Amino acid sequence: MNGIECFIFCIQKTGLLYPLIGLIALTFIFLFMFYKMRNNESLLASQFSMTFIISFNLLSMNCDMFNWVWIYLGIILIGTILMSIVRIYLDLKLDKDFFRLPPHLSEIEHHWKVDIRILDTQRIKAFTYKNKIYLSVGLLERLEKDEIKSVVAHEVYHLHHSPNKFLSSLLAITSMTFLRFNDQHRADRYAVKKSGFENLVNAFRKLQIKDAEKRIKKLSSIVID
Amino acid sequence: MVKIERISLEKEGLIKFFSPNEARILELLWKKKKMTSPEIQQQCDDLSLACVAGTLDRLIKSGFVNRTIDETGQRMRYIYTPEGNRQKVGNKICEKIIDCLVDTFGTSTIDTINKNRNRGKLK
Repeated sequence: MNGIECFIFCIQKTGLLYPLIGLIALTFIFLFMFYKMRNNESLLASQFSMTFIISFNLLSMNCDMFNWVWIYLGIILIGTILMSIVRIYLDLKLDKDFFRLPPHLSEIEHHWKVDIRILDTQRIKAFTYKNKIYLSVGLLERLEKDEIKSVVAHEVYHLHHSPNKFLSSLLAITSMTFLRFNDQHRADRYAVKKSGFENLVNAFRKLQIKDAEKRIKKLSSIVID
Repeated sequence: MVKIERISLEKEGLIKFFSPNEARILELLWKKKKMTSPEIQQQCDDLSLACVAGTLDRLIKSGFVNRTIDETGQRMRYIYTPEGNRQKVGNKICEKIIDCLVDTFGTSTIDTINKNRNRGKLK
């Protein structure tokens, strides 16, 4: 009896064969649909192949290596628990201690039809979370109205086009690629399209964004083209 | 931020109790009484924006600095003011240190303070 036969025999005895095949098939379909819809081929390919390798290992291992299944499930479980804790903490933190956008900037909110919340911190922050855009007072202090618009446009791209962070982190953990979806450049391009190159570049420089010059250089080549 | 374990007696001045950046910003605020963050940034132009912002947030959290939001102009901004003067901060730190010493050494702390007062080291 070879490894695969032995494994199938073991699993058949526990009645897990068909559920396991179903689970792997569903994971493939889900990963494929999820990233295909968002047109992110590189991560799709990476996660797809890693999931395949893991599944292949699970299916071809010897009976005495059945523990691998539990290790894999354990990683998924621990990852889910840790990320859930982070999410609960963020929910609690972000649902209090925020301001509304000041009146002179409220047109930005109306224009994009998004809920923009202001965080009470001097630190420079701009991110999306649960269909809302969060900006910090520290950021608003530094930027002119048009530059704030470009930051919001960048975040709006993430809001509508970037995958759910929880889900993409979970997928990265379960397929063991440890890759995170990164579409900053696409969001930058979107912001340039919606609010102009100069505004975004000024915002980057004023906020002393990490890798700002690299991102500007990348954008410049597109603008020139 | 004035955590007992972070007090470094071998250092000079305020940096015994604060980080160099915290001490620098506190000194500025004591001097000017009221400042915006761009003004603070201007005075500390060798520090990055993130560094000044982080330091200000820490000073707020520890209660040595206050801030209010000003929305009067075409820009939302913080106005920073110090929570008390240098002497008040000194009193706050002394209290914390004495509490800690009393917790550890009991009444002998008070005896030592009294002895030093009698010898004229303390007035």
